Amino acid sequence: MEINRFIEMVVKQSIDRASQVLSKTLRAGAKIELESISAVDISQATERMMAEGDKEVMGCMLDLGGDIRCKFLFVISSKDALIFTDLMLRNKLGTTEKLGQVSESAIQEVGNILSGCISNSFSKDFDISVMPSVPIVFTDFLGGIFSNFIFEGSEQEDSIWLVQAKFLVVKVQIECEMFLIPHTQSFFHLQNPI
Amino acid sequence: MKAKILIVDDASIMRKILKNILVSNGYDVVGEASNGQEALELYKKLKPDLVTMDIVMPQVNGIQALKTILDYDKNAKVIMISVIDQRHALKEVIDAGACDFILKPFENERIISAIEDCLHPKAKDTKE
Repeated sequence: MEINRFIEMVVKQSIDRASQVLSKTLRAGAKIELESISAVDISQATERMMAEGDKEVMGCMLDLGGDIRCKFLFVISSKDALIFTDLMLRNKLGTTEKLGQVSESAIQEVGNILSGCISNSFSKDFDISVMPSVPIVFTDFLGGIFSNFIFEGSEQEDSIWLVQAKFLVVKVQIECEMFLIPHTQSFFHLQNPI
Repeated sequence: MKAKILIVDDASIMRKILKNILVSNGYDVVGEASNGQEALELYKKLKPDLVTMDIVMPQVNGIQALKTILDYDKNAKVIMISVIDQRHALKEVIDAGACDFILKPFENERIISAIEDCLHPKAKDTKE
């Protein structure tokens, strides 16, 4: 499954913008550590994540819909979600001690802002309409969240495009990851008007 | 007298952030709603001077809620605050009668200036 180079460039630009928006949201520099777009076999991708499966994370999952379709997932370790919450509330670090409604809401809002930024980027670059759905937040092991994400995003295909971006929030040295599964058919028609 | 404001956002952290900004700038946050349906109910009950409204929300979204509130009270002042920065959505909220549109993430000053402009609109320059 070949990935169109132009679409790859647009996706990478949207991730760059998402990184800038993440920095502004947290008021802490966020840089992209890893960015990849690849066609992957579903079982291999799931196995790879299952290998890291014992890490408890908070995940925010949603769908981008409209003129294109795409599955979105943002994950962060539960421990780092507490730091994110303090950064968003401009609290002294360490103020939020337990996961709960506030930290879930913080991760929901980060997912909302990042997915909104990606949607806006696609909308501007292709002159299309893309709207994110209401995010759902989970606390679970990474393997479980990721398999669910892959299962829902694959739509019974054997292989998918998987976009992966790892962000490092420099000030507090925490990592978080964002994944996208573009629905290939909905992206192919984007080549025509350009 | 302090202006009465209703905050509508499905993320409790955003409501908390907005409430902190508004209260520290002398506004009275009279209510909070987490979706468009609750927003209309609270609008009727609390009669706020201004509403801040998110767009992407469960059940009834912010654009639908904006239209419903303006159907109920054509003088309602509603500021949309959203991550959605797309031509079709902006056109829809402006056509529906939103007072202003603020993109997330925002600076505190942008919120305050938008509220002041909506509550106290300057007379338009009528020079021909």
